[in-house]
Amino acid sequence: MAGYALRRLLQLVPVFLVATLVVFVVVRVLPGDPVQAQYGERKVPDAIREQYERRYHFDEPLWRQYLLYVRGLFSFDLGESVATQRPVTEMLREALPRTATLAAMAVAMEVVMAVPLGIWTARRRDGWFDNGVLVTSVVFASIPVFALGSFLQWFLGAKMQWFPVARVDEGLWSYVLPSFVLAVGLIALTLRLTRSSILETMGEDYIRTARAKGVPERRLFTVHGLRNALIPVITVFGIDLGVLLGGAVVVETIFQIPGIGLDITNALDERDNVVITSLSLVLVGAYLVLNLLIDLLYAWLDPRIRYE
Amino acid sequence: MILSRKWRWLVALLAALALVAAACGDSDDAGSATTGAGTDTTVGDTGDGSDTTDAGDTSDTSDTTTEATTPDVVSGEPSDATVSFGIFEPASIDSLNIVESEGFQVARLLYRGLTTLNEDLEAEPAVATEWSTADNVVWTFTLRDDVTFHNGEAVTAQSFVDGFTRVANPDLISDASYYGSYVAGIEGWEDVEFGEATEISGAVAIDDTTLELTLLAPYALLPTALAHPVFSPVTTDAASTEDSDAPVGNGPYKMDGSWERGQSIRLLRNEDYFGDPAGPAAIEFKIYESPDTMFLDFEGGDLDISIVPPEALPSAPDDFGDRLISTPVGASTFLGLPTATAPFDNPDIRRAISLAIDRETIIDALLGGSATAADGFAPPFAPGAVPTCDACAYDPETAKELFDNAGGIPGNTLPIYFEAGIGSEDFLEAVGNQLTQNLGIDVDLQGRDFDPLLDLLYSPDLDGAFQLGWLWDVPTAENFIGPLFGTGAEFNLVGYANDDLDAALEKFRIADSEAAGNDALADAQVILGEDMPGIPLWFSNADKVYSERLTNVVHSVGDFTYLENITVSEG
Repeated sequence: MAGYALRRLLQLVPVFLVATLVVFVVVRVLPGDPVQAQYGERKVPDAIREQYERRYHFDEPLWRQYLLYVRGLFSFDLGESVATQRPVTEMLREALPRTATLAAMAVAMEVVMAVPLGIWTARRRDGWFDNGVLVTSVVFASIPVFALGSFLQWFLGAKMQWFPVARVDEGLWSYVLPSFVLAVGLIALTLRLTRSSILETMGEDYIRTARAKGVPERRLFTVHGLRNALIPVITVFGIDLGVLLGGAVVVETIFQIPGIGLDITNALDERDNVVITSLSLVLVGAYLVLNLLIDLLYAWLDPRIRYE
Repeated sequence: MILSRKWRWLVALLAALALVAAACGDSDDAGSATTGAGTDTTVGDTGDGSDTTDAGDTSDTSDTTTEATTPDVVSGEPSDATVSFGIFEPASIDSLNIVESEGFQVARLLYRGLTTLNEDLEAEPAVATEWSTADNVVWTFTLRDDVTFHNGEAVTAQSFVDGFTRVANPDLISDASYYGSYVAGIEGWEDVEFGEATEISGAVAIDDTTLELTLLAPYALLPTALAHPVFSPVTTDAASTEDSDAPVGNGPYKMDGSWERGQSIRLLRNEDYFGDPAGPAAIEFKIYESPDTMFLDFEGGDLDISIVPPEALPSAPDDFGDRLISTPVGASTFLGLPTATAPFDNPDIRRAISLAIDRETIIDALLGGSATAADGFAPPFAPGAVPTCDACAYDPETAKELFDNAGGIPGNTLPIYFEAGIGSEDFLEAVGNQLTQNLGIDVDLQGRDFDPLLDLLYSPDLDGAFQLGWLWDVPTAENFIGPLFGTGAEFNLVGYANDDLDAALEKFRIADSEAAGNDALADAQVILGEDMPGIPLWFSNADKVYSERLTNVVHSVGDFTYLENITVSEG
């Protein structure tokens, strides 16, 4: 197990480096001049432009800028915002906990709602409950996040005043509605996956064998069936985390949660290359690490994987 | 000048390409309460609010229509309450870098400069008690000796020199430095900006209470320009520090903690303020990403003062009554044409296009009525403004006649360039339809990203109209003329050159009396009205709503709210 974990960890390094190169180059070649963006219509005076270029190395060739950037990364220096001159690490210190809270709460909702509902619908297959859950989940999953978010914000926030409309003034309570909006599509998917995985597993030969040997139905389901049926579900959680981090950009914008997603949106507005690059990389890094953890969990649950 | 976040949104109702700088306007609390346009809520002394009208019947600013009335500025009743005010993320709240409306709203509470502007947008004493000049070039300011910073340090003439030098210091990258070098024209400022000197030769502290400023050219409006927060004093500690998230100023409010990006900026009343004490004990600026979210939060009861998004405007008068304040601010929307390129070098073509646009209809149908149709080049309330744009009337017959007699335009097609995606499409499409209908030409709307648009506007290849917005830097009609139409001026994107106009502007600059200055400005505006180098469309309003517990909420034509004067009723 330890060998497997180490191998997977080492694989991350080249992947991450390639990601830095791709993100760095893509962001730099985007149209738009970050210095001009600070100045509106006013042509940037040469003296001021020189100041910016010296400070942010914009006058260097791209490959040198990249090397300087990567060198910074090794000392945990993520650069400095062109628009505000704030270090990105400082922005991250404020933003990351908020995005993490949002994503964690969304995953928690997913686990708490999707898995039990999946089990339940599998047990009562084709009943009115199963069908009702199917229809509801399809409806929710098919509404775009932006539309659902805006609607719930208006209805539950401004109109009914049950939840805060936006911002994080009320601590964890502020995250509940945004997390739900973020999780809703995933809940629907995971629920269906759980259900079908259970049905498939419960039809396997070894289950029939165990049943024939007289294993009680309850033990048969929880010990023999469920554990195996949930393995694919756990992999999906890993993929979901990527979706969540991407969806966070939209949800954070709607609900004004000043996390990484909102910072990226703002940086795009300001053509703030340094911030866009560094924050995108943080998302890439978070995705890679979380997926590693999921893989390890997967290996632990299913010994076949680590012995390959 | 930053295209501020606020205006990126507001352009939905005003203008693409808002050439935005902080609206420069400020007011003393109640230092000289004057009778405004016939309202009766003035308070003679430093208002303790005893004779303001009772709740629900605030000083009346809700009826601001075309004739902009000057709001009365009265102090609010001091209270223990916190007032929350919705803003968009400022670019900066430090006097170093105040270039847009949101930072301005905060900084004007944190700092007080040499002068401040009264409700008529005239300079009044603040830290300076008096000033004198013989030639409008060398100015001597006498300072109060009882002013302190929030940290207790005394404000002296040197504090101002330090503040100015800090803004000019190229290492600190201030985007507002042009106020000193270009707007005020202080001698030696540019040398510091360019790293050729470390001290501004034209700003000298003679002693603790005497400051002498020398300009490159005569400038009668210097005291008005100096009311901008960028000319604030700074503490000795801050003299060479970068943009701060917790600036120490000398204004009626001080920072309560640091600016939390994307969240809030909290201020506390400065009990040692040298002027009239402020009303609310604390102000919380809540930062929003969009006007819609801000307004929802207001409707949800979590915000005291919000802007009204365009969609909510039509029903706002019914929903909020007196609590809706629609204030004309110094923001104008223009069409520009390349005046040096045929056929647009013919004033008749420009006049015809202007006459063919029905401004009122567009304002009512698409802007929620929240703008004033232009009848001149500067908004009517701007000091020195004269309605000289005869071609701003709607007269399709004359338009067609002029247009045809002048020979029309090549290909019978007019491209209009504008910044895409910031909400200008709707009204430009309406303008296009009117031009098609009234002049029989095709209009080709060309949305562009910002940077390519900018390049196009500065290039000589521009072959059509473009849409332009402007928000004033200095509260005078001149600000809508000189920077936009003066020969070779920085924002003269229309390529207009007229010696007579330049002469009139120069006469205004060196005028030794207000009347002489206004005469010169009037001449300039007559020239513009005849020549139509730009086509003024309308002047926008700022629309705000406030919660029921507030009274005396006044929004200035300088586009900021007098937060220090608000009265809060408890319960």
